[in-house]
Amino acid sequence: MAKCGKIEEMIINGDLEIDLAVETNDTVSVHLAECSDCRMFVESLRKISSEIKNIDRIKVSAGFDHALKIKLEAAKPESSSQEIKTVPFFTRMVYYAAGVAAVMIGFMYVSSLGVFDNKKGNDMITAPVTFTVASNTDKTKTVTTDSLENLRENVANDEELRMKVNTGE
Amino acid sequence: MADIKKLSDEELIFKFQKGDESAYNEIVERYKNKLLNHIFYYMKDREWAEDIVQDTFVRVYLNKDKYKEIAKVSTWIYTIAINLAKTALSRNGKMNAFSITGKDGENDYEIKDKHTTTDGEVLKNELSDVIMSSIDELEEKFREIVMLRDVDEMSYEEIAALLKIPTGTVKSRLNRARLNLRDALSEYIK
Repeated sequence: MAKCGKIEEMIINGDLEIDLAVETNDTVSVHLAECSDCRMFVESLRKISSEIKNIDRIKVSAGFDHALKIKLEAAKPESSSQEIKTVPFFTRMVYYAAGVAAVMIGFMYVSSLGVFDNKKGNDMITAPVTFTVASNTDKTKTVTTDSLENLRENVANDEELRMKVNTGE
Repeated sequence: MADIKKLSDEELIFKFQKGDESAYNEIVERYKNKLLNHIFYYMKDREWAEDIVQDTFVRVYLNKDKYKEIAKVSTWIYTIAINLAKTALSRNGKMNAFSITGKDGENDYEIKDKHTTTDGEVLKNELSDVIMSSIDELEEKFREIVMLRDVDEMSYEEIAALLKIPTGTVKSRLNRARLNLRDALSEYIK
């Protein structure tokens, strides 16, 4: 505690900022010129501030940047789509062509199994199917058959018949 | 690349917002050691502090578009870092467990080996230790301001914005803190 205490009181009251050149304040300047206690007090505060600025600082470790890079990669929400965007145009076209070719080969294979063969498919009906066949004589006949062959025979036997097919299910 | 060093923090963040990652890298370079020193004061553990600093930069990266010119970049980055540090401490129940020493009881600051230094350097290191201990013993509201002003060299206005207190309060707390430090360090600083 300085014996005089005038400057200390001004600082405590917030009337003076020690960071600024207190000498710019005429009152303070005159007082400091006369009072060695307050001069020493101001100097000691400034010295503390400068010593704090000079204390040893720590630095980040050598692996800091690498660890940050890993964290960033993990945190980026669009990292995977960004990778695709960075693939060269030609390579991307090759990928697309390969995809299209794979789909076509798959389609051809499935097609070769006869899944899309209409005639063969109709012949493969095994569940009972109800066909409703109406004639021009406004009588309605109901025929239950398990194949289109039987239906064709029914139609062939009566050329005036108009056919409505009701699969029921 | 040489030009980027001359840009202000705000100019860098705007370049980064436009997709220039080198601007982001420059921000990391500028702040990583400053933040580490500041956050170390909260965490008291170097590895933990580095983790927090890395997480801060991840947040800066992911939230770059949220930065607006109403605040300084330093205030924005420090706010993120301090919030992360306080959250981490509160999760670990260590919010008030400040101590100058690390987890293992060793001072984690890079103090040079006293056997290989000159007498002057030994005294300087000893003074550094004493100053750090004295700052550590200050009330948190004083310690934080001393760190921000004298260690991180922030302006009164930046500190006020960061801590959300009036500039006058920053000044009065800083004065109080320095007076307390003066009393604690009276034997060393004459």
